[in-house]
Amino acid sequence: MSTQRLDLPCSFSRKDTSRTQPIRPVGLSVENPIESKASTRSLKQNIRLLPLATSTQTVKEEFWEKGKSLKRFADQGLVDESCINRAKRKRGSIEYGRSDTNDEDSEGLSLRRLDAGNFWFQSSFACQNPPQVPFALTCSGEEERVCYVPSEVISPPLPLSNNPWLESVITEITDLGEKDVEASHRPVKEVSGSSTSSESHSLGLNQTENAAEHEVHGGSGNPYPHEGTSVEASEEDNQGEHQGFELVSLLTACVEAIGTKEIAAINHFIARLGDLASPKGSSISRLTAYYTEALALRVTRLWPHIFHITTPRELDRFDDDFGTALRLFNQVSPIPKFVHFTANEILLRAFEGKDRVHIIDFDIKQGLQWPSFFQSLASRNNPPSNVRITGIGESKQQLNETGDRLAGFAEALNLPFEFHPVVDRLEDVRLWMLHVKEREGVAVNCIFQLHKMLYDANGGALRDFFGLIRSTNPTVVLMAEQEAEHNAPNLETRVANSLKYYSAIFDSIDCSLPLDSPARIKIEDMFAREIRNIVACEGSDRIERHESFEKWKKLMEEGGFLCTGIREREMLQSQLLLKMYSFENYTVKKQGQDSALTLSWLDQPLYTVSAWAPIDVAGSSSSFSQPG
Amino acid sequence: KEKRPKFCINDHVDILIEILKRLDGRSLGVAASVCRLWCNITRNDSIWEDLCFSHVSPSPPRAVRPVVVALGGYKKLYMGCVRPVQSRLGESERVGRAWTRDVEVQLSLSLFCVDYYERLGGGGGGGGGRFGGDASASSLMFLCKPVNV
Repeated sequence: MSTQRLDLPCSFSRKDTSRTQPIRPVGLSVENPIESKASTRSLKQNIRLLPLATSTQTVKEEFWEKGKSLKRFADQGLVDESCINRAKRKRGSIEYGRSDTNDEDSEGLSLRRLDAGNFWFQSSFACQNPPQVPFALTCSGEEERVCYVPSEVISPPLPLSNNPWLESVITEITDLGEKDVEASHRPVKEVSGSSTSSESHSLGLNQTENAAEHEVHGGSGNPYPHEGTSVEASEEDNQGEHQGFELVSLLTACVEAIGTKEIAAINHFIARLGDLASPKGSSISRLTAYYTEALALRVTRLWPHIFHITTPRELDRFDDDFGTALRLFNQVSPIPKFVHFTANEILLRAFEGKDRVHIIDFDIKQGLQWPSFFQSLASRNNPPSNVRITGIGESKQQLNETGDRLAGFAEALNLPFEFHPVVDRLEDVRLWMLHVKEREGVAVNCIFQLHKMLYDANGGALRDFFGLIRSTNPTVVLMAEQEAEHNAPNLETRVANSLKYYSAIFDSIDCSLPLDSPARIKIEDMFAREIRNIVACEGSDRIERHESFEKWKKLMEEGGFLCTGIREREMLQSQLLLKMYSFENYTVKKQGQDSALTLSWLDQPLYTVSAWAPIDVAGSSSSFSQPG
Repeated sequence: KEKRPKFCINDHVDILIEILKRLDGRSLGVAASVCRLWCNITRNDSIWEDLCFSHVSPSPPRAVRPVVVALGGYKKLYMGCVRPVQSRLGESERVGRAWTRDVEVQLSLSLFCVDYYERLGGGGGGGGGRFGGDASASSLMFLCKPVNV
């Protein structure tokens, strides 16, 4: 397998070899998917993951009603990553009550032997049945030329690897560093690629996993499988679990190899991952595929003379797709509504009695937040005499469309409305662009924006932004952020944390949409963008710097803001909203003495909404005149 | 001997309306198929208004009405949002605090708005045409999925 391509999203099965330059080597493909179960076991034995994993697996099967949970994989895989932050590991083990964290050997150990010459491969693959033929690992030769896409973080899917269904038995061990072997491998791979038997086999595997998933959340009405099906489901789940564990362990091994700069190992892992993971596979497979792509991107940027990736396509479809994805997401998941409705409720309260209302929305996108707010305003006993929204964004076309739609909506409600589009990046926005006028109540809406200001190590960008916000004299500043710590300086921690986080997200999407839904792929790609940014970018390119609410609290307070708190009504509304979605895995909790509201999936916190007021305004009469 | 005049409800439309106003959604649906008169009455949006806001205290401000009418009317609100929301939440939820019901209604209204707004799109945001088959999945689709209450 010489080509490594990750074709996401909808064209994964495209065997467009001409487009891809391999991240070289090789072919370590796992053979028959039939054996995959066995092989993964043996693989794991080597990694010393399994012995404990199986026992914990069975334990988990019992109390885990929902078939597969990605988080398990994430946690399991993570703990044997020696570089991972102790704290995270502990968190992982506590969540699932596993005590085996200490026992799990860092695979790093066995992997380091890679350099010592194929030793590891031999031993690990020795136990596999079919091909006894030693396999090839060709190290990345210097001839790899790279043309990577300039860091605009958000590069669309990168061809990385083929369909895992094209697995076959390559295996021929050669010495590390022999580059000409690749040539011979490519044809081998092509041939094997067309073998239908492995394909159908893999398909079989895929289907069983599909079946498991469907069974598990079968009929959309009953999230919990009955006793009867759970046995069956667990059978298939077992396979899925193994796959999941293998994928995650490969990911963590790859991350570690990046840390120790072992090119050959990186190569190997990305190849393997490319083989096994697919954006059309199971949830864990998809997640891993996106991570693999992100890692490949990172690696290409780190060592451009060694790794090569073809230029991603569809750069221009970025905005459109994102808009569609967001709307789809809004339809299937309560998350955007949770954020919007909670924010709106707080806003309503803040604007009580105000006659002129002005909202400054940083990154308004499609304005999905505002219709319900307009309705609430219009339904007030004294609707405001003027409603303005200043929408900031990066796409002029989208802004104009949003403005028109909002205007149409407001007109239907007889609400006097003005829209001001501002096309600019966040850091370039200035007060004079914002159309702030006197005698109006101003609110600043920062949904998933503040974290983009954290790229500046000494906090300058954030300070400036806060200054801008304060200069508008807002009554309230609404903040919604991902509740996660994805801003650690080292990659391992970021990958570890984000794996857990996005596993939960992918799980939640899994509950609403079937595997083959194109809508789902779009939505997942939206998150894949975030993943790519977290993993593959650094410096000012890395804008997805998620922090936990405690950190934000400190930052906001240092910036001169005071939390205005969450009331019972928001809490109730959120709870009602969540109840309306058919699965009960979402929970809403208050954080930090009623400061914020956090939405979680099972026990993984996802998003937090909070409201702030600048300190000189809070608690004192506002500096703008009260309405008549 | 005086013949007692037959009492035909259809002759007393105001009383009829008062009665029909107090029915629940399902019964209203059934009533609509009784005869043309009844059908016409049930088409009147104000009956559905009472249905939407029954048991809501305090009753929603007057200003809500034009809003709802602008967005499609009470019947639409009821059928599209209020009823599924109620059935999702079940009886137990609603017995809660006095203003729980109010929040519930507000939630329905919010969802109603989001749905209307989505439909306003028509290609806005570049998403309209493209979601093709998915376009039929409105933002309220999740309410249609059967759920074990």
